[in-house]
Amino acid sequence: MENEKIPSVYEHGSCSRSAEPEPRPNDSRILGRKYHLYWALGFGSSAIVKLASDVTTGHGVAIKIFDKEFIDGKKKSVKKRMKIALEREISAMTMLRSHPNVVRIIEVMATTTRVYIVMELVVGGATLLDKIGRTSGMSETQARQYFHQLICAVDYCHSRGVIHRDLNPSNLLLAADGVLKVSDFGMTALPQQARQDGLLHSACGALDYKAPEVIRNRGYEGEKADIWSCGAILFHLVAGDVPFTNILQADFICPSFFSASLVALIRRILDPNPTTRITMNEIFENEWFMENYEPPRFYRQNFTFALDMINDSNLDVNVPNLVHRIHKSVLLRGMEQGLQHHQETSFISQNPVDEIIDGIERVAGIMGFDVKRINSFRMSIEGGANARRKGHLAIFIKISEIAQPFHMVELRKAEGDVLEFHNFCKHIYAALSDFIWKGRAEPIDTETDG
Amino acid sequence: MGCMNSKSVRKFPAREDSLDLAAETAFTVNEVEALFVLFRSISNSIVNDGLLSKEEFQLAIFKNKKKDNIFANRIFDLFDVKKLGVVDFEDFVRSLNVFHPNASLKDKIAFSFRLYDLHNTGFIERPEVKEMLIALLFESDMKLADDVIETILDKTFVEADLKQDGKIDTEEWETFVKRNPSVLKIMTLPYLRDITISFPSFIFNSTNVERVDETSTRL
Repeated sequence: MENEKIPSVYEHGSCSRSAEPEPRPNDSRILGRKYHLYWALGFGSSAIVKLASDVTTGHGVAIKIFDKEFIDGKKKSVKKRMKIALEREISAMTMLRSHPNVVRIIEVMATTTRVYIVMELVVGGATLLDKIGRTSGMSETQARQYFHQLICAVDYCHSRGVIHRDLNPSNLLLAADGVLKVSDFGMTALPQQARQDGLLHSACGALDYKAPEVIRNRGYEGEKADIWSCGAILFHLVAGDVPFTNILQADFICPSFFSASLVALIRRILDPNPTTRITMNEIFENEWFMENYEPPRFYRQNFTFALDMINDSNLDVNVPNLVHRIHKSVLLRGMEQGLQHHQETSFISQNPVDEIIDGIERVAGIMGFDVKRINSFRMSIEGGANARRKGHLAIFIKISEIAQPFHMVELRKAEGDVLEFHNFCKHIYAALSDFIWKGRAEPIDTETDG
Repeated sequence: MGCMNSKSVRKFPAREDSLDLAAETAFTVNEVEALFVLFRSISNSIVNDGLLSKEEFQLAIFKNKKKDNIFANRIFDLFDVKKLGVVDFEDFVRSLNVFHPNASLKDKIAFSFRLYDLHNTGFIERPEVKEMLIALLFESDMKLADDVIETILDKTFVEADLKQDGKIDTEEWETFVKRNPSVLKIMTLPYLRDITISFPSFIFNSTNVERVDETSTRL
C-alpha cells in the first residue's frame, strides 16, 4: 500500500527536507527495533531520505537509505568506487559531528539489502535553494549570516581533511531558527547518474557552483574548488541568480546594487586562477566577511563528565582512585586514539599545585585564553586566539594528589574543536616539560593541524 | 592448543552468531558486526589467526607491544573466559559488553571487583592490592616510600573493609564503589555507542535481515 506522502522531487542534486514527525503508527515501520520510518523527505541520485523517529525518545531523525542492489548491479570498478564513496561519506560525517553547521550523523545501520545512515533531523524543512528560489535575492546582511556559517563549516571540513566537492544550495539545509547545515558528503565521488526523473545530474544546475578547473576535469585542489563554490553560492544569495552564463569562461558581472566591499570579496573568490584565488585565511581577514561575525559554538560534549570532574574530590586518595587516575590517561588515550575521540588528557607532576597552576595560567594567557581559577586545584580556560575561527574552546583542568609529591593534572575539553584542544595541550606540554613526570606522562601525539 | 588449529579465520560472523550475541548483550546486530571489524584489525595485528592474544591486546591499547601493564593484563585475563591465552570474538563481545553505557551497574561493579581480585580468591585482600599498587608504581617509574604505600593501603582498607577482617568482599566493595563513583568511570566507554560510525565498513557484509519497507518503491 502506498500511504506515504512524498514531497515534490527536487531537480538539483540530492536534497533533504525535514518536518516535525507526526504520529502515524499505521504508516510507520520499525527499523532495527529503533526507529519508526515515515515518509520520504527527498530523493538523491542513489539514495532516498526518510523521516523517522526514535522509538525510545520520540525524537525525529532523518534516515538516508541506500539500496545495495543499486551498487551491486554495477560493473566491478564502479561498484568499488561507490563503496569507497559511501564509506567515506560516513567517515567524513563522523569526523565533523561536533560542528553546529554540519548535519550530525547519529549511527549507521545495514541489512543484507540496504544501508541506513541515521542523521539529525533539521527541523524547518528548507534548503538554501528553497530560500533563494522564493526571492529575488536577499540583503547582504542576511546573506552574510548564511555565508558565515557556510565558511566556518567548510573551513572546519578542510581542517579535518574533508573536501566536500559538491557544495551547492540544495545541499545546504536551513533549520527553522536560521541555522545552516552542510550535508551530503558522499555524492561527488559517485559517477554521474540519471535520476528517476531521467535528468542527468550534470545538467541540473550543480555545475553552476563548480570551479572552472573542476568542470574541465583536470587535476585540482579540493580546498580551492570548495572556496569557489562558496563564492558562487554567495553571489546567488544576493543577486538572486547564479553568476555565470558561460561557466567555462568564468566571466561574470556584479549587479550594481552590490556594495563595493562585497564586489571586492566576490572577485577574489571567483578568480578562475586557483593560485591567486582567495584562501580561507584571507576570508577570515576580509572586511565584508568579518562584519558582525560570531564564531560557531560547537556541540558541548561529555558535559556530565566535566560536571563530574568538578564535583570529584581532589583529596580522596585510596588505591582504586589512585589506580584510576594513573591509568585513565593511558587507557583512554590508547583506545580512543583509534576512535578519534581525544577529549581529555593528563600528566603527572612532582611540582607543587600552585606552581602547576601558575605555569598553566601563564601559557594559556600567552595563547589568548581567559583563565579562571575555580579554587586551589581547579581552573577553567576559555576562548583562545583561534576562537573567532575555530569556535569557542572550553577546558576544565583539575589537579589531584596521587601521593606526595605526585599530582595528576587532568585536562578535559568541555566545548569546542578537538584539534584546537590538542593544539592547546601540545603547547602546555612543551612549555611545562620540566613539570612533567617523564616516567609516565608522554606528550600527546596530536594530529597535524589542517 | 589444538583447538586454535581447528578454528578457521572467518571473514564475517554468521547471521546466527551475530543474533545470539546481540540477544545477550547491549549491542545490536549491526554493532556486533562493527565490533567484528575492530576485532579483526586488532586480532590480526601480530598473528593472523582470528584470535586476540595478550600481545595484540597490549598493542591495541598502547600502540607499543613492549609496554607491560598490570591493569591491561588483568582486563585481558578476565576477557579470556576459556583460559586459553587467547580471546575469540564471542568472548570479546560478551566481555566488552560490561563497558557499554547501557550495561547494568551491577555487572560493572562485579567486573571491577574481579579486576582487583588478582588471585581469584573471591576477596580483595591487602597483599593483592599492595602487589597491584607496587606494580603500577613501578610501571610508572614512580617511587613512593614504603610508609607512604602502607598509609595509602591503610586508608583504603579503613574505607572499604567495613567488617575489618582484613579483606574486602563483594558486598563491601559495592558499598565502597557507590561512595566513590569515580572508581567506576573506567568501567564505561561512551564511544561504544558510536561503534557503527567508527567502523562503517561492516555495512557491506551485514547479514542482518531486518525486514522493513516492504511496500516502498525500489530506489
